[in-house]
Amino acid sequence: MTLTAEELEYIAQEEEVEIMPRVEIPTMWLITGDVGPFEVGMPIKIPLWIALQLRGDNKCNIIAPYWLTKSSMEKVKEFETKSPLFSKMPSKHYMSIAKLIFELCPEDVPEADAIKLLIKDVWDCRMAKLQTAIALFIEKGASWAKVDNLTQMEMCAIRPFFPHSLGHIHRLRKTIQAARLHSAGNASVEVRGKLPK
Amino acid sequence: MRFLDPSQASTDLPAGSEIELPIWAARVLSKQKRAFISIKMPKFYGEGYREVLKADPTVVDLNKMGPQYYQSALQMCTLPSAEMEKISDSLPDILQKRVIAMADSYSLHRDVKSTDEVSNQMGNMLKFHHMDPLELQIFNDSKAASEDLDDWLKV
Repeated sequence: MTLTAEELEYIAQEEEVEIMPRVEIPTMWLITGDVGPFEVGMPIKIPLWIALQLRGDNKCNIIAPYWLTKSSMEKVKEFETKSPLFSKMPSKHYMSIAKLIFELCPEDVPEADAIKLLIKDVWDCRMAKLQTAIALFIEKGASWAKVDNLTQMEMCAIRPFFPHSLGHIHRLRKTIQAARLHSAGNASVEVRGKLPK
Repeated sequence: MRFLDPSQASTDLPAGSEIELPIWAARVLSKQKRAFISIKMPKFYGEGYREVLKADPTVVDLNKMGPQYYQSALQMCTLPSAEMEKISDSLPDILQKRVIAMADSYSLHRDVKSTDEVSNQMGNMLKFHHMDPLELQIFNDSKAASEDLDDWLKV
């Protein structure tokens, strides 16, 4: 299934985030579950999409997730640059969540600019690792590989190049092989001699 | 069979004459049990070009070698010809090497018009005009997706 960046962003908004309400709101009875009630000054965890909606109406302040801080991101970046493998990101949708929060309410996040740069560095580092891994993979012609801790957004970046190119190469190999076997019945003696018994 | 070559005088084609046939016709006529014709491969799949492709497939202009290099080769590999066997063996590897050379170029920044300009600075990249339609499709799809992602990231 091919997901675009926008679709992934939409899915990322399911993640829960803590907010500090500014107004009192009674419980919301939603299909996915009840949310609330909201009391002024009492932090509460709600899905990101509701949080963004309320923040847009200035009814709450978003409390940045624990990993969206300068010190936390610095640790992530250090680990990422030192390790040749992909490290486990604090959230499966770190890129989407960071982008959404910075877009709407950067003032809710202390040291937002520094964090933006750090996240960008981490992203670039992971993408670079990914590009080398792909080139190596295509070269070796392996049939499968296991990579841990990749997020969906990074996979978005190598799609459709990676699967399509491998698909074409595979198709060439298979078709040629099948054609060989098919024409073996009609083949000349010299070709039949070369076929595996 | 004279309609195949209108310059012939008689109604039947004489044995030993050379004519061009579409691949599907050649396939039917060249079945081993009742072979009416023997196949002569186009020169682009022959020995000389094969050596060039083996040496460095990433610099070859596949557009010059026929409008659809890979697809035609796929169709022709059902024809009984020893030459064809050899080229079809190396075909997936040629695509593989060229695809690796393409891997960096599709995500190039939009201001760059084409890979023809940058190939000197950024190492060995497959030139845009050298790409076969199959490779071009992979390239264009990847480029579109990469641009989508870039748009999303910037916004």
